[in-house]
Amino acid sequence: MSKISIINRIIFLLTAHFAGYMVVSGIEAYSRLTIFYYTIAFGTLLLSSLLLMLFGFEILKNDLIIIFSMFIPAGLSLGLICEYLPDIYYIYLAISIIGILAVIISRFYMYERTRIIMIAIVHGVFGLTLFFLPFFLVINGKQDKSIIFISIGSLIISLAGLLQTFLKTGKSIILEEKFYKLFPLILLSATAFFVAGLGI
Amino acid sequence: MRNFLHKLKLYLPLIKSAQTGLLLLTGITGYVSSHCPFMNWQTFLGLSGSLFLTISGSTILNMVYDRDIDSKMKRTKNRPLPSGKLNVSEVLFLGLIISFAGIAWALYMNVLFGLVVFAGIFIDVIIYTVWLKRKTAWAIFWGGVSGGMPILAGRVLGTGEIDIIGILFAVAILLWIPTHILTFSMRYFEDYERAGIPTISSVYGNKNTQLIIALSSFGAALSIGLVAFSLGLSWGYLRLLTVLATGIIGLALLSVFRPSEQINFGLFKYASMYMFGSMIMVILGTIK
Repeated sequence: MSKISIINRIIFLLTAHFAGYMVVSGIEAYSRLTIFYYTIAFGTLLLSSLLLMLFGFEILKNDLIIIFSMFIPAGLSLGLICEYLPDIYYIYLAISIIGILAVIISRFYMYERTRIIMIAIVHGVFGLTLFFLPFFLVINGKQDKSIIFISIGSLIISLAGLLQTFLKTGKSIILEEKFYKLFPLILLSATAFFVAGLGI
Repeated sequence: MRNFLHKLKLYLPLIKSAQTGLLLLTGITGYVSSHCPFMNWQTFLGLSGSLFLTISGSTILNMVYDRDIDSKMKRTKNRPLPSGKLNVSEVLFLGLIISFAGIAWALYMNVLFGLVVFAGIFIDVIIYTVWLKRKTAWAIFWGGVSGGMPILAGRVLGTGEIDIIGILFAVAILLWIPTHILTFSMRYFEDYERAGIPTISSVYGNKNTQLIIALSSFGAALSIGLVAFSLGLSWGYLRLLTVLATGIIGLALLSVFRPSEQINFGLFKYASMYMFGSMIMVILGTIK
């Protein structure tokens, strides 16, 4: 496991600052419920960055962190749906809750393979929503083009999640050392894209 | 010159710069929270200077008194005093001079402010270190009370009285101290045993200690939240404080239900980060 270098710490601190900025003032323009969801997402990003600074990359292998990290795409996609597609909000909320509960239950009571499939499905739903919804909103003229940055951010973070899943299953397509070298930059750039898509 | 620099290098660790810095920040937070014209540089310099001197002075005096304990602990045996690199009377003299200078400066600025500053150093050095630290594990309570004095002092200097917000601030620090100290004493359990210092974990066991840490973390987060709300901080700052509080409460709960050395020390480090972040949020939120 590679150690957290000073540069990595600075990158995580920057990520935490971006996320903190969003929580404090970057999402004020949205409705109350949307702010709640974005606070969950950016709050999770902030805490993840701080915890990575404190505990190192080892923490990424922790079961609880895998569940915890799910709140990033869940919060962002629920916020987007709540703000722009209120008609399907309750259906999406129900699916999200069922998905999150399924992942939690599978972490404690099911085989490794089932767990990975479960998390891939749930992350997949959140990820696809985050990727396609901004395009849908721009095409329908409901939002400015800048919201596409969310799609880019979600693409980056989904790729990281995918690479990590491959690492976990032992079928890695990238060396572990290399992955951990890239991870801080992946998290920072994804956060920056989310900020650009929502906050500016 | 070289000799002076060498001596300075030996003296600097005596004031525990990170701890002193954090306590100083709490004092500044207490002052700024009173919506004073904090850009008044004379008052700001007086607050920072007197608190820095008093906190540093009390730390030096504690180091002098605890040098026998420090010499028995692996972690501290190489400190300048237990390792004999510094002369005890010389350090004692410096500690007394700095402390008296700090208290005098504080009293000169405002009598009530000076009295709170004096209470802080008295409780820390006399009640906590000299009287109780070697006798009871609950001495930590008084350590917490003295830790809450800088923030109360800052608030008193700004408002001219001891108000409910100042007391809540002090309670927040008092409740935060166990998270800071108990996680540390658990990590260096053997050191404390070797030195014969009773700690909550050595008297009541690790499980109870982790429970106390969790409860005190929750209490500290709640107190800071209450203060921030009472001060009228915007929802944005309150949200961020909630996020930071979720971190400390979450880690404290993990230390109860999934205890490990890693979680324990992570909580210790996060607790400092939490306090630093919360104070900055209160300052920024108040200025805004």
